[in-house]
Amino acid sequence: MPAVISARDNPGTLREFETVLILRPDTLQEGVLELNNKIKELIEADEGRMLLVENWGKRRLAYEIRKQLKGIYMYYQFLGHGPLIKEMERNFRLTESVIRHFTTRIDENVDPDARPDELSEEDFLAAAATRPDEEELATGYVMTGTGEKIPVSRLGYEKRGEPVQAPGTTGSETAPTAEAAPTQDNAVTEAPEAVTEAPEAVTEAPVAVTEAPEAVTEAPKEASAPEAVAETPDEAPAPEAETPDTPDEAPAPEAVAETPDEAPAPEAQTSDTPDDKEEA
Amino acid sequence: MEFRKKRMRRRFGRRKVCRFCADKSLVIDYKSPQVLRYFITERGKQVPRRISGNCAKHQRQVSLAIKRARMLALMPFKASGR
Repeated sequence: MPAVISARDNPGTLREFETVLILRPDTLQEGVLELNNKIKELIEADEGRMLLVENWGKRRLAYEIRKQLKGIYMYYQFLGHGPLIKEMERNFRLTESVIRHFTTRIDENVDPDARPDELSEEDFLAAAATRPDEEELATGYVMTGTGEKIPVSRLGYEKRGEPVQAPGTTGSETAPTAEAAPTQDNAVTEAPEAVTEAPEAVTEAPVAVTEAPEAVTEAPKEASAPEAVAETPDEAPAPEAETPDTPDEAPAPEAVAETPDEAPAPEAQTSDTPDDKEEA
Repeated sequence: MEFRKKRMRRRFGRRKVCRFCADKSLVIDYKSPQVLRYFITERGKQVPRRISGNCAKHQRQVSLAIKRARMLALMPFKASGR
């Protein structure tokens, strides 16, 4: 039983909170899991319950935090009493890997029995695995703060059933043409979906991953495209190629040649679709 | 004369409708910076109501969401460069 419970709360009810953590980008699977276990322990010691754990993967930070330009975003939803937050935040401050923490209350006077237990053991463990970003996919290792190179596999992402593409298989020239030919019909039907999903996909990247096989490569990487466009001028041909009503411009091989390291396969696929429609 | 001129000018342009009132499915959330991006300038400052057309209620919510998104480095406090 926690020491002090607010008089505002009805007896027997809990508050629902959500927490977003930003972890150091070199935090490995073990580190994330350890932190998740600690959080779960704290919540359960407070008679609360974890409802949801999500790993949003590695993202670029809008500004530098503790000398880091990227961070692993973790998202938690849980039930607990008010004083739990104080204890949790004390722990976040003590944990080296947490570079930013933010908790808000989303609901109060929640009957704990009314909420189904959404979090399975499987999901809890899976959330410890971080999706590597494009840079790490290209190089195949994670840079730590001390300059050490750790293989991407230590992030544990491929254990979720979706293999991390080896740097060799993401080859810039061969992949798009080989993929486009057999999946032409699919590409036509899938592409509009993926495009409309793009704005949402940044927050929903893990969800989009589990959809269609085409969407696996398309959704998350396309979502990152609008940001990249503003920064790098040589990315410019890609978004133009996406628009289905301008079929004559930006043939696939060219777009690939210009953006070899920035997700060649998905962009080439979407730029194929207008041509396919024309022919059909 | 001056007075009339001013009144004439004010009538120009269509009153914008708050997009969150028009589209109820659009949720203001600090976790979705894609929605909020429309309401900041290139320099990262918040767009005023007279430009964005938000109603007071939703402008307050947008304001809070932007501030939260900034804390989580999902949005910039200021634009980089220059």
